[in-house]
Amino acid sequence: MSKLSKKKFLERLYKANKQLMYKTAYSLLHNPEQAEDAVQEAFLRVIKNFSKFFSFSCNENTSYLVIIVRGISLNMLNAGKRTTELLDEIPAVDNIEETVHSDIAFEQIVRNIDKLTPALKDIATLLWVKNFSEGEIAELLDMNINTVRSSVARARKQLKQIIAEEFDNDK
Amino acid sequence: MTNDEKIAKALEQALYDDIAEYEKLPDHKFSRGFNRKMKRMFQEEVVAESHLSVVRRRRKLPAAVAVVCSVVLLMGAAATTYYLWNNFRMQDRGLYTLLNITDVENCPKTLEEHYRLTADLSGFTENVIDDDELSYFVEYENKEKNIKISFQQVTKHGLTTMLNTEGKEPPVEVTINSCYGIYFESKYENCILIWDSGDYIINLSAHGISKNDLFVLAEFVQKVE
Repeated sequence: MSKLSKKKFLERLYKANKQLMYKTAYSLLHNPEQAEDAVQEAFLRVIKNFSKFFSFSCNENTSYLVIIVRGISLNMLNAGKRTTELLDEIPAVDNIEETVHSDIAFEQIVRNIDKLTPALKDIATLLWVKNFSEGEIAELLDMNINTVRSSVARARKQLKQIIAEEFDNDK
Repeated sequence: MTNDEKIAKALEQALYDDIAEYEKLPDHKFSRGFNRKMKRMFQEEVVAESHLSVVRRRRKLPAAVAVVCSVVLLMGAAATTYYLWNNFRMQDRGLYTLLNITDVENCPKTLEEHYRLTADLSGFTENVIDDDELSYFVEYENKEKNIKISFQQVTKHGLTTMLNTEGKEPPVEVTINSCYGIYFESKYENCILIWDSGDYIINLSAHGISKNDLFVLAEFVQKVE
């Protein structure tokens, strides 16, 4: 790729998404300067993962940018009060359906998906919707891969609970 | 549809719902300075990319030849560890070090005086990347000798610079042409000097030459008419 096309691509990506990214960050941080910082930080991640973004469609890029800037904003919000995650506390469950055999209505899942924390929701989206590997998620969200793994396990556990609760409610 | 598929679809829908909610918020007016920072960040990323290709080419050539200089001047964001040297405020952020300049109140908001690299650069091509009221940024390249030099003069106002120190030692304090400054080596093996000339910030970086040679080169940065 020529130098010019890379620069142009980044500039277009910024122009097309900066408002949405700012609004995403601001909705969490409620601070204009921090929201701008989050946008800037997000583009550093884009630069770091440039080849991925260059191959995505415009809509996909928008989704990823929102996820990235949301993750950065949450990190900024939680800076200083984060505690070390104990990875062993949550057993991994490979398939959410393994222990849930009922057919749950799609609407019921939609209704309950917001019970996941935003961070877990974003990781789950990248993993199960966008089919990213855990390593790719770690790179994109600038996280330790062990943290990603524990988050994935936690997301699986919570989703399993959501489905189980819906199943119990239906009975 | 399996439960897994339903969950994936629900997650996707939740994301689009969130985006729709965010879009309802009023538009933000990004400052000119912020847009400039971003533009410069994209520009510098392009410059950084060219450093890598220079390194690859140089390895194929006899050892004698290379002096490759370029500027790494990017913009950054939120804070972790601060340290304040003179009027250089820095934050070590792991992948990079964020640099802000303090005490800029009495400094010009535009380039009213001009600094240039006055060393004999015959045999070099000149590529002016920025030349406006806020920044002058030029690259010199001698393809035959595989040499590249970059120089930049910027205003202090609104300057937020990302120093590409990933995997490298943090910057150290230095004196350049009797001015306060910092020296560091970037991820791309560039030796970089950034100093405060008084009213402006000067940035000079090199690849393939020693730290001492970079300081010699810095002596050729002078104010011109």
